[in-house]
Order: sequence, then structure tokens, then C-alpha cells
Amino acid sequence: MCILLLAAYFTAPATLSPASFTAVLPLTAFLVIVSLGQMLVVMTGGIDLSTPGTMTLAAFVTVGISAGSNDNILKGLAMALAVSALIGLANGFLIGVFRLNALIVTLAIGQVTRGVLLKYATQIANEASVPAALSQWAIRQVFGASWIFWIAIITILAVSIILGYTGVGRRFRSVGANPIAARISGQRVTMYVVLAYVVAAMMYGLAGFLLAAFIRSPTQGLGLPYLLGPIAAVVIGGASLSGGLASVFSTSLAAFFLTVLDQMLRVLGLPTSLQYVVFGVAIIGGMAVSGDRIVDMVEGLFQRRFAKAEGNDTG
Amino acid sequence: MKLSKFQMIAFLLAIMALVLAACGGQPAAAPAGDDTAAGGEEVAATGSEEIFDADPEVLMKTMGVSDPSQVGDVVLASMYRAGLPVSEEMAAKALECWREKVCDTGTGGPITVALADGFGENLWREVTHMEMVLQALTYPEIGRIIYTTAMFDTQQAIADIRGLIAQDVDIIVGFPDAGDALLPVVQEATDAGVIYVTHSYGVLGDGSAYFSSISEDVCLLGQEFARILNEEVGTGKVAFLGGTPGNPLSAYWQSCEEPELGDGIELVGAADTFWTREGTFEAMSGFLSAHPDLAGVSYEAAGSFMGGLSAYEAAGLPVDLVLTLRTDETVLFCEWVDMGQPDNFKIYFGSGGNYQSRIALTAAMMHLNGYEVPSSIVIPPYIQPVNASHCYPDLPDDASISSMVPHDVVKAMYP
Repeated sequence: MCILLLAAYFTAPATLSPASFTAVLPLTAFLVIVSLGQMLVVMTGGIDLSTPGTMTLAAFVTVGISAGSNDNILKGLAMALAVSALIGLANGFLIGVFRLNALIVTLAIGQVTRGVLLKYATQIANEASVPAALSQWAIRQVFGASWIFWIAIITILAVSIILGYTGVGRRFRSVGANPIAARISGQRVTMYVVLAYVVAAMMYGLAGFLLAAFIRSPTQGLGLPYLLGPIAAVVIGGASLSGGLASVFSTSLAAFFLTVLDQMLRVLGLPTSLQYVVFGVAIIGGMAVSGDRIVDMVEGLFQRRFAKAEGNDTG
Repeated sequence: MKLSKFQMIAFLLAIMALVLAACGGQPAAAPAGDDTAAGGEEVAATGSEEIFDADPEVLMKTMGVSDPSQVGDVVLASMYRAGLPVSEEMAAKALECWREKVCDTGTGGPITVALADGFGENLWREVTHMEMVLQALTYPEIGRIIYTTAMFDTQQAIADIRGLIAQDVDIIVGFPDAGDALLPVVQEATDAGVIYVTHSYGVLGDGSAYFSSISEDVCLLGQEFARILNEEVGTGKVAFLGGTPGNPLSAYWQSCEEPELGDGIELVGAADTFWTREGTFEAMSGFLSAHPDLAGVSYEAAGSFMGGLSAYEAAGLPVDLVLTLRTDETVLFCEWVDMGQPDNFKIYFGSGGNYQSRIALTAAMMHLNGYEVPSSIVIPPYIQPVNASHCYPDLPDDASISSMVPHDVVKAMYP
């Protein structure tokens, strides 16, 4: 992150301007919320590729249910979260209960979601708007940042507290760290896996709702940028794709890193093709130097030294 | 002998054409007597006479043409039909045909027409589809209308056209998003005797694989954008916004606009938006971070620029901008009205161009009926400054104000 900020300072200082930061904060907020959802899934050793479909469908449900009326905003939010939870339940059930491959299942459910979205979208005007009060709320600033940013902060705090300081959170972490041990100790591993997908999907749905509010009229490509980004944020944040512990703070910081990087590439005026290349290389670089890898590397180094020393002693 | 309703309409249209011709109306292009499709297979002439006396209001509304001699006979015939009243019965049938992938028009006519869309899942495409359906319903000899959408999938687009050939369609109106990758299958269609006409795209390959293309003069549009920025900005920074990365449409008008920009104009860059509000927000926030004094932007999609306005709001900057646009979605104009019609936010926009699918269909029908039709029809660009009358709050946000689909039908499309 420090390297990125230094690079931005010297190559594209406008990235660090107050106007740029204000513009980037909502985008960071969306990525943080989705990344934290993906983090829960990754902690169970799974992966969720239904993110774009879930977000987009939630955004369209928000528009469709609220039907331009300020009175229906909460109804729209509730339905968006309910539909998202249903998608998460389908993912979780197939992966947790039937033990199907998470990659394939979430890809397939994402495809089903896209089909439902296409059908649903024909019943409302494409690019129809959310109610005026919702879009005004989304851009209103409180303490120098939009409501969307503060919701992301609340989400970070909520996930941190639940994972770190509640029984459910501690059991969930133990299931992720070692599912076999958790099963032997009598914990309901399957339930926690299903729960992870449901909660994650609801977080995608929340992000879809907020994104719809911010952009006013969602399009069917709304969720597409959120396929790779959240997974990258989770991995750069130090989590292992094979499951286990993950850090809420590191994941959120990684999401911020990716958003600032994206903004810096735009400020630099690079062509889209080059932006893709630099972004991809930066993700690989970020993964290579992420915290857990450095810890693993240092541990491995010490283990080899100790083994060598023991070998010398016994030889 | 008892005539059916549609035979009666065709008969009346023919009589009207004769009367108009006798009274000094626009002379009809003489049927060329060529009754073969591009592929050489014989297609029976259907007998529909075209009338070239398009309503000047329709010409002005759709393409800003005040002098009918600026456009050719195919355009005039298309716009004549576009201006015909839409009865309740016709509107109901149009809605049915718009919703169903395959639809019988109820006339029992022998001709089958299809719209092969490379992508159909946004409002512009949906309205363009409806334009073609409404145009098709003015031809009693058209008995069936088919619609396919490939959702940006090239393989699907190829399969769709193959499927249409197998269904013995007579005419395919296509929006070939997949570009030249479609050329082999388009050639197959032509070889099978199908009349393939593109709209809103330009020319596929060298244009020899199919019958005709309907497009706008995108290069001239870019030069018009430059003229407006030179006049309105004079001295300052401007930026270009395009659609998907590498798309030929954006690249073309931008390549024509850039050399025409005056000495006082500094082009700070071009960015891709994917023609979405999200993409436009991100692109504009990038520009505004580096250049908060940005004075002008040239872009395509008026509706998507709502994302650009969000970028101004997010950056806390006033919208002090000259904006040139290719399309005319009403939502941006209503926003401009809501902003109090500010003098420092000037919008110049072109035509949505939904009507091009009508011209494509009429071009194919005229060919079937023996009229001479050029292999390429280019619509001149039309740019106008925004005013309060361009806001239609009762329409869906991204409805084009130049569309000839009646507002009641648009509302019925999205109840």
C-alpha cells in the first residue's frame, strides 16, 4: 500500500487529491463490502463466482420493487437482500450439503442468476432509475464522506466484532481453520458453510443496492467488475484460497489498495488494454508480497535453519 | 371478389401513391425490374408500392433533415411509413411481436423477416427492435417476424443467423456487434437468397457479402463535435469518452474529431466507459481528478453520461462543461432541466438513430419489390443544443427522443 501511495505521489499526484479521494471512497466501499463477503466464503475453503450476478440482480430488484417511489425503498432493500440470500442458500446447500465443487456450483448459479435477471429485466424498463430520495441519500455527505462509505465502515466493524468477539464468529473461524477438527468436536460444519454463502450473498446484495443507489440506473453489466476484484482483495489481504483464517482489516485495506490503483491508472491516462495488464500484474505482485506469504517464507526459513542445525548436532 | 383488410390497405396505398405522384409529390424511384436477391435466388416481388412523401416533421424529429432532397428515396419511403398512424390494434400486435421471439402478424403474408441482434438487452436495442416491428406491420405481405439476440456472444450470433437461414427467412436486419467475424455466415445467408441488411453499424468487411448497410456518417459527426468544442470552449482542456475498449465506432469518430480540434484546445485523453453509467462515472472521475478544469467532453451515450454527472457530484465540482453527444436519451435532458438549465453546462446532441432498423427493413422490402436500393445508405449527422422541450419525464429514462415509437407504446412496453 505504501509503495502504491509513493508511486501515485510521484507519477500521478492527482490520484491523491481530495477530489480524487472523495470520488474513490464510494467505489472503495462497494469493493470492501463485496470483498468481506467473499472473505467469509474463502475462510471455509470455498470461492464464490456468483458475485456479479447476485449484485446485478439485487440492483434490478431494488429498481423494480421500489418502482420509482420513495415509499418503497425499504421494501426494495428487503427484497434485494432476500433474493440475494436465496442465491447464497442455493450455493451453500449445493456446496455444503452435496459437497459439490464450489467453483463450478457458484459459476452455474451465477449463470442461472443471469438468466433470471434477463427475464426480470424485460419486465421493467432497462436503465430505469431508483427512487429520487435513494439517489440523493447516496451522494449526501456526512463527516466528509458519503453514506455509502460509512455503511462500509459499519460493515467492517460488524464483521470484525462478530468474527472476533462472538461465539458464532469464533466457531465459524474454527470451522474454517480446521473443518475436520471442528466436526470431531461436534460443531455443525455444514451449517456454517451454508451460512457463509448466505451471509456473503446478502453482502453482495447490499453492495448491489448501494451501487444502484449511487449510479441511479443500474445496467446489466453492473456487477461484472466485481468478479476478480474481491477475490484479489481477499488473497492480497493474506487469506489462503484453501481456507482458514483471514483478516477483516487486511482485506479492507487490500480493497482500498485495488481501488486507488485503478484510479491511479485512469489518472495516468493509460489505454484500457494497458490498464488491464498493469492491474493484473499488480494483483500478482500484491499476492506475492501479502502478509501470510511473508510469514510462511520466514517460517520456512527458520524451520530449514533449525533442521540444519539439528542435523549438524546429531551428525 | 371480397378483399381482405390488408389487401384493401395495400390497394389504398397504391392509389395514394399514384395520386401523390400526379400531384407533384416526391417522384418514386422506378422499380428496376431486378427481382433477384443478392445471392441470386429468385424472390417473388410482393407488390407493395412505396410512397416517398415523408412527413417533414418526421424527418426533422428523427434525423434533423429539413430538406428531403438531403436523403434518398429509401429513407423517404421508410420515414413515410414511420409517420403512419399506429392504431390500437396495430399497437397491440406490435407489443405481441416485440415480446415474442416468433410472431405471426396475422396477415398471412408470405414474407418472413428477422431482426438478428448482436445484443438486445438494453433499452436502446429494445426500442430499436420495436421500431422494426412497427415498420414490418405496415407491410401486409410480411406474415412472420422473428427476433434473436446473441447477448454479445459471437458464437451465438453465428448460430442465430444459421438458424434463421434454416427457417427460410426472406430478410434479416442485423446489428452485427460481432463485426467481421460474422462475414462467413452473412455470406452463407446471402448465398441462400436471404436479403441481409445491417443497421447502425457501418460496413461489414468490404460490404460485398451482403445486400446493404444503413449507417450514420460517424466521421462527420466527430468533425461536428470538434466544430462545437472549438466554438464553445475555444481555449481549454477536453476529453473523449468511448464505449467498449477497441470498438470501431468510438475509434472512428474520435480519429475524425481530434485533427479538427483548434489550437487552443488541449485533448487530455480518451477513456472507455463500456457505455454504462458505472463506466462513465469511473472514467470521468479519473479525468476530473487530474483535470478539475476540464472544459469539454465528446461522448456517445447521453443516458450513460448520468454517471459523468455523478462523478462531478462525488468530486464536489460544479458542472462547467460543454458536452457533445451522439445520442439523445431524455434522462440527461431532464436532469439538465432539474439543474435549472445552467448556462455553464451546455449539451449538444445528435439523434438516437433507433429508426435505422426501419430504413434497413424498408431497403430490403424495396429490393424485393424491384426498386433500386444502394448498397450503402449513410445518414448525415444532426447536432442540436438542448432545451427544456427535450425532457419527457413520462418516458423511461433512456428513451431516445428521436424515436418514432409512439409514447403510448413505449409506456406499454414497460408497464
